Amino acid sequence: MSLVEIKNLKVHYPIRSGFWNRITDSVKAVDGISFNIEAGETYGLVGESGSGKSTTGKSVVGLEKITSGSIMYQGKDITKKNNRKELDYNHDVQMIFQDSLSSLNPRKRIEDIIAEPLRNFEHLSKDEEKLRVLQLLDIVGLDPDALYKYPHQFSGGQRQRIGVARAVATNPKLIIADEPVSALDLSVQAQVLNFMKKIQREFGISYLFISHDLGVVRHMCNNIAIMNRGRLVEIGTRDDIYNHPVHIYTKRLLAAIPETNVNDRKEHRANRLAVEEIYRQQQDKYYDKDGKAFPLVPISPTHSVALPKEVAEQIIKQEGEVKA
Amino acid sequence: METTSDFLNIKDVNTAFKINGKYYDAISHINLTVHHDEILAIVGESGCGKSTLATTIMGLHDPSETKISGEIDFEGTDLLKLDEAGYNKFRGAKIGMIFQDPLSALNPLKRIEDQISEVMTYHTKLTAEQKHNRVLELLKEVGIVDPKRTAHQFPHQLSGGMRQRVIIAIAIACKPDLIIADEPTTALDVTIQAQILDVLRKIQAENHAGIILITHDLGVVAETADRVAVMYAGQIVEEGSVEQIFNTPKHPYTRSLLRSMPQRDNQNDDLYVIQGNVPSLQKMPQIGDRFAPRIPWVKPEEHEKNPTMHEIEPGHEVRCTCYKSFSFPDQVGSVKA
Repeated sequence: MSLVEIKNLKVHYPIRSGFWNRITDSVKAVDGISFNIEAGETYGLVGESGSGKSTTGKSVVGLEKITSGSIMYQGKDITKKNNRKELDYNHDVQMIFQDSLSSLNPRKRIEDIIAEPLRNFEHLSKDEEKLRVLQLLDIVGLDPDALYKYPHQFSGGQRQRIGVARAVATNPKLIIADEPVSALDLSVQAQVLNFMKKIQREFGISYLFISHDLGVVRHMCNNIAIMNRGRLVEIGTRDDIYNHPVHIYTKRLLAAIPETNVNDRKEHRANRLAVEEIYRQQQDKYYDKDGKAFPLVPISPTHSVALPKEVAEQIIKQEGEVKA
Repeated sequence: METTSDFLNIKDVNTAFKINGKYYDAISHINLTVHHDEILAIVGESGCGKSTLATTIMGLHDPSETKISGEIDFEGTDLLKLDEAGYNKFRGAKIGMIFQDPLSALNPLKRIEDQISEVMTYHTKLTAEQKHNRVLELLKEVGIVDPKRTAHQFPHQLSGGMRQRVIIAIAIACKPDLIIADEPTTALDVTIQAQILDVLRKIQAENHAGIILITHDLGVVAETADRVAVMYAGQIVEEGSVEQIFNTPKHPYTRSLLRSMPQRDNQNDDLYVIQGNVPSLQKMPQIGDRFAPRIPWVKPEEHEKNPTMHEIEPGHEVRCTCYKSFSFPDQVGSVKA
């Protein structure tokens, strides 16, 4: 059994208009997505802004009211309040936010920030609590004198590590990381990513890693889902997605990642423009008549793509011919 | 107008900010030239002085809070000697600037057309009709599909990519010789980023402009730039063609940055972490190699006392001599520069 099973999750926001301010339409931020997160793995959720990836993350933590579907955690649907309590869900699932400054209370000292989840869930004495906070600071590589400082006294990377320390304080089983490194510099990004991998090895934490940066996702994730306009267009292992992409949207995203290999930059650019051209011309082949992605169809045990079966097979065959 | 190849010469420029009554150098001894028909990328982490350099060229600093010395020779005029009125003749006309955040750079209360034609009202003597036509032409040039419709819209009605295109249209409205693009794609999605970079390259080729592209994204640099200057702690530490920087990086900082990027060949390993932090302005070491504290395993005698730029190949310069013997601690003896 997977740790988390998301089935047909939908989050729609109502649009009200007209004289009575009635619901006239809805924004389908997340429109029927399903995927599973295994224990101890990092699951990557990739998409451009507005694709609904953050909404999905928030729904899993429980910050977003879902319209329909289910999120099963250890076999129970946690969209129901009673089940959440029974499972200690809020204790087991934590979140790391993108903007470390606005997610830390500016008026609280680091000690109180990191101890807050402990005070909520674990009843420790003052000394025990302090010891635990010091341990956490040590895990994220901050000095003990950080205890009495305020968030603004730290650099961006240090703040992000404080956010991580707070998230791991309760020994969670799953952490939702919503763009945890996109606001950071390269060297600091490396620090935070290494560190996230380290605590995963030590504590067996699972991550739902939400990001738009395909380079970082390749580095972090074993399994990846590509999201577009509220639907999943392709899911698979790292190898499936990066080396054998089928859906045009995935190919387009991959082609747009800037490469540091300056010698091939002309070919890389030509390839990107070619993919872009196909995307423009053949949109109707990859999306249904409402512009929505098709339901996912498995093409290998690990790899599924949102295309009618015949189309998917045709594309794979064509690519096989090109390579041969 | 004479068109010498290098039209912007930055000579020994220092910019110091006043903090608690004392001045601290944000950038020190910057020497750079920009040629027509080239994209010069300036890379570095935040706090390295990239944006300070841009705002110094644009003359956007408050003279009562900053002290600037040196010379910025732009087509024969020293920009640093100009007064505010003199500067205004250059800004927007001969030098265009593209900002990182397109939403806050646009006026939310004005239609796109009015915002673009505003620059032309200041700097040209075009009639209203000529301006209108030029606006449509510009919008088309930056890749907006329906210029007439967009011209009538307000900024909030446009997507992030469209807004950035409008900013570019404003920057190039008077056909500037120099365009300064400060992190133009940082707020955008990768597919939009690729499109915006294409637009920049196209404009540069058509107008023979020189572009200073400021970014922290090494991928963007590798794909777009012709020449690269790497900045660390207010100094340029390495400068060269894009091939020289990416194929044979020399300075420890450049090599460290490239190594800390997640790439295809290190996807299962830990990433390289540069020790320590970029020093703050008040704590900037004044003598010796500023990068030395972050590579503590390098012996002090391998650094220069007063690091200067050394030309190692035509066009490729490196600061300090420590690059000669530098290797990462986990690769000692394996790779040498």
